Amino acid sequence: MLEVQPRDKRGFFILPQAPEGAGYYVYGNLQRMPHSGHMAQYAHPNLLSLIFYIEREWQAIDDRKFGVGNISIAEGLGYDKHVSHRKGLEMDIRPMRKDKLEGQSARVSRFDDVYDRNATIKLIRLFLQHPMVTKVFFNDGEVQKTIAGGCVRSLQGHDDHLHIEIREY
Amino acid sequence: MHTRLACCAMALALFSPSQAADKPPAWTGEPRPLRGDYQIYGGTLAEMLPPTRNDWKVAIMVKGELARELFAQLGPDVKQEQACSTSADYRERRRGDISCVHTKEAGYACYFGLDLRTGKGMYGAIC
Repeated sequence: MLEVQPRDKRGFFILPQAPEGAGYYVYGNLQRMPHSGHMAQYAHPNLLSLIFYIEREWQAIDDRKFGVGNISIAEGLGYDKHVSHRKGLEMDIRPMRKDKLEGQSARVSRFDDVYDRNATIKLIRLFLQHPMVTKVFFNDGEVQKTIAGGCVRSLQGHDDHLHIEIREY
Repeated sequence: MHTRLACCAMALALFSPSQAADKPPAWTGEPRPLRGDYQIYGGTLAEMLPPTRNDWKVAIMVKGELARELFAQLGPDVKQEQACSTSADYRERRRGDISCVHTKEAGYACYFGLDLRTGKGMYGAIC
């Protein structure tokens, strides 16, 4: 019998957990519980559409996968010291790595040798080209200079992930 | 004249209690209980790891009356493009390592942290 996809009271589904051939992988956890990352990946339908669009475009230009982390938990409650991530409209994305490491252990910050700035710029550009994207936080000043126009901003704690927000409608 | 005085007295009697309700309680210096929680971690808030002797941080969240007072003191709200969320009911204020948010649903909450390796304060929340 097929497993029924969990759906919360908002009607949101969990991001498919790295289906075969996808251009993204998933990471993260909830309250440091192992294997709980999916519980923090309830996404607004618009965000799911965006992720599916970007992963397709990304696969056309790069054979690595990008990592998708926290989105929101069921019913949009607060969790793990996120001040937002309640409406399924925001997500955390890891910067790109130079290697092809994926999964929970593939963490990377802008200070690491394995951090791939050029690939991260390509990925952010893809997101910014989409009209739904309203906000990107990531602290790499070189990225901000390259992607002009103040589209990428700095904010405390955003050295090891991009925070991306989309409009609801 | 008496009528005017009576009107003034009546206006004061009517409006004073409502104005007093908007004011913060008078300062007493009394310690008050806290409401909130904390999270101990290593690594970063976005990529938490088990804490170690050399990497031990705590992120603290306070709610309720203290959060409301901190929010009021921190003002004004950050600009929408710098706030963590553009939701209509979301308000955010920051100064240094303290950030406070208000939403209709969750009320007031403030966040700050400590890094025990340095003994210094740090941020206690991420977007």
